[in-house]
Amino acid sequence: MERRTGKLILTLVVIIFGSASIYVINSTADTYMEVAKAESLMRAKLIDFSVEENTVILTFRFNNESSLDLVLINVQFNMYGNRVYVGNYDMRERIPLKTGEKDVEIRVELIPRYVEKLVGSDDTTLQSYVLSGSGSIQWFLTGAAVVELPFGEFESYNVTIREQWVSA
Amino acid sequence: MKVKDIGKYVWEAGYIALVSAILANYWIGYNMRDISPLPAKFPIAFIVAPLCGALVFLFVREVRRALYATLAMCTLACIATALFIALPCFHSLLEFRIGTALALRFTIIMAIFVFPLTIGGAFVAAFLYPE
Repeated sequence: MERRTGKLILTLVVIIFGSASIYVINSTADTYMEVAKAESLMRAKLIDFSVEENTVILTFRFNNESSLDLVLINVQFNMYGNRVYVGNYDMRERIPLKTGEKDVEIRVELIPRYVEKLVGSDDTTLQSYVLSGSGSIQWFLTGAAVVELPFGEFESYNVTIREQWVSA
Repeated sequence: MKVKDIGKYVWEAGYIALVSAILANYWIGYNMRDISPLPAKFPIAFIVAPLCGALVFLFVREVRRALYATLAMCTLACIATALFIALPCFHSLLEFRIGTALALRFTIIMAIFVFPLTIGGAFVAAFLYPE
């Protein structure tokens, strides 16, 4: 009889802790799925590209499919114009990425020696080169964006950037 | 007599399933770090594992059966953890190949720690509270 009471008490304890554990697993699973959505469905798509003097303005569209409040902490890429390397550029501003789409504008001032290599003379700007119709530039970007999850500063992931654009 | 036995086995199976849920929860919490609401900095899973073994022995009260029950409980907890880790695969958010590799990695590490710890916990309980 005493053993049966002991078993009943143990069962009661295990029911309480087991139910609490199942509840915690369930809530952890929800967050885990949101993190999986944020990581696997996030894209950095180049939607606009314009040239002002020797500055290139790139607009990336980030889509946050999760319900988490993400933060874009870094965008870094190598840039090529007509297959010629024109430098490595980055943007280190913290930009919140709420649920949905967010357009991020990045202004990149090209290094003069690369501009010269691209347009063929030192007194022509990129803008005048493109507007004069003397030639089109096929741009290619390869790099990554770093996105921070709302679980502490070491929880982040990378989004691959691999985009092309033609200025004509 | 037979119905009574079936009831006893069902009770035991339910008990072991719940203990395995407790163990899986703490191990998932340890692996998921800040995603889980459980404390991440202190690995509480390493304390909970022997306690789960002790809980199994105190319920079964037979060393040999407690050993088998502990092995079953750990296996269930490992399966639950593997399924949890592979969860994004079932929603097409992760490739099955990657999900399986991740789940296997986490579960093998879990098994290496959890099996000796729970069996140890059960045997310590058997020593302290003999049959």
